[in-house]
Amino acid sequence: MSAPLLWIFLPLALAVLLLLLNNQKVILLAACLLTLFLTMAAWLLPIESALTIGQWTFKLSSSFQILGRSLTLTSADRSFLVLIYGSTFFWFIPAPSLQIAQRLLPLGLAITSLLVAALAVEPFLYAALLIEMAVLLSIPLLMSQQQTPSKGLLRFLIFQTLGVPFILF
Amino acid sequence: MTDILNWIALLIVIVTATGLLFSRDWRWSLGLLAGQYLSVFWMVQAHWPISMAASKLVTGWMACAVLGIAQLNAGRVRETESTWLQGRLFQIFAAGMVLVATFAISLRVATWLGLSLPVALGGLLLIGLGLLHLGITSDSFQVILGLLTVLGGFEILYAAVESSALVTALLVVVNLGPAMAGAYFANIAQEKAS
Repeated sequence: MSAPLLWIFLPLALAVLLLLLNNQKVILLAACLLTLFLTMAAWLLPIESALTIGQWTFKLSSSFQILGRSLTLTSADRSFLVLIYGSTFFWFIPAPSLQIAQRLLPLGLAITSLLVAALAVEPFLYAALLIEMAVLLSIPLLMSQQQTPSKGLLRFLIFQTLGVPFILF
Repeated sequence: MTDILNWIALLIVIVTATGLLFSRDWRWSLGLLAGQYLSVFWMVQAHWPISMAASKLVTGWMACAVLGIAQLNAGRVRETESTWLQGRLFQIFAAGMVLVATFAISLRVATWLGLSLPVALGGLLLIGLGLLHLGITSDSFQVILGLLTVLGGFEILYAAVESSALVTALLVVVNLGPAMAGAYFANIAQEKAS
């Protein structure tokens, strides 16, 4: 098991699953439990050192290879992960009372994991593309179902997309 | 022979990017965008293996298909904008300025990035005309076309300096993303109209 698998791919996979569900309570419960679990895991689990529980020994490796590049989360990133997933957990709790849980929770989870991936990717240059993906996912969150896209939203999309080439070059 | 084909690809870029700027009919716009992606593919394959460069063509045409299906569903909403003639003279003048500016700096960029002149020109033209497109429209469909044009130009130039599989995969998502957003915008507009 590797740290990027736990803190990036697991929430991303759950986000995709939650997008398919309709029940707000199930979505809220699953998203909150996962973010709480990831917060506690970041707080308690060491990365790149063995952890023995009874007869079982676990070790979280820090790197995950993907298409010739690596995603790396070291022990130094654990406090950041606690902060990110902890704050995501507290953001998610009031979502059902605002009637936006069905969109906010899956997309919020996916955006959070993409931003963590942006921090973890090496070389850091590629973070621009992951941030752009997070921006594109945030579009449905930033407009209501009853309104055509505002000029502000279009400007947001334009400027964030134009930023990608500037970071990559 | 390759050089001649590069110049032909450049000609297609000029026609399609300028056409996108002036076209108000979404069918024409998407046809021009599809043609533009053919040129992008040809220019990218000058630096990448053809199998990787083909991903640009497939992605571009998928983006066109996504936008096309969305526009087809929202057809009635968009028909009101098909007779838009305001500011056409300004557009022609501005596009001419971009063309001249691009020709002026392309030789230096070609030397800097180690590109052939038509490829550098093609990339810069797409970026310039895409930016112009973004600057003169506030329609969500046109904005998406502008963004895809800018990204296409950038990808031509970036192919010369980076050939990583991860970047290719991420750029595929970044290209499809605006198309998805465009489809989402069209869907919202249709729901509002009905």
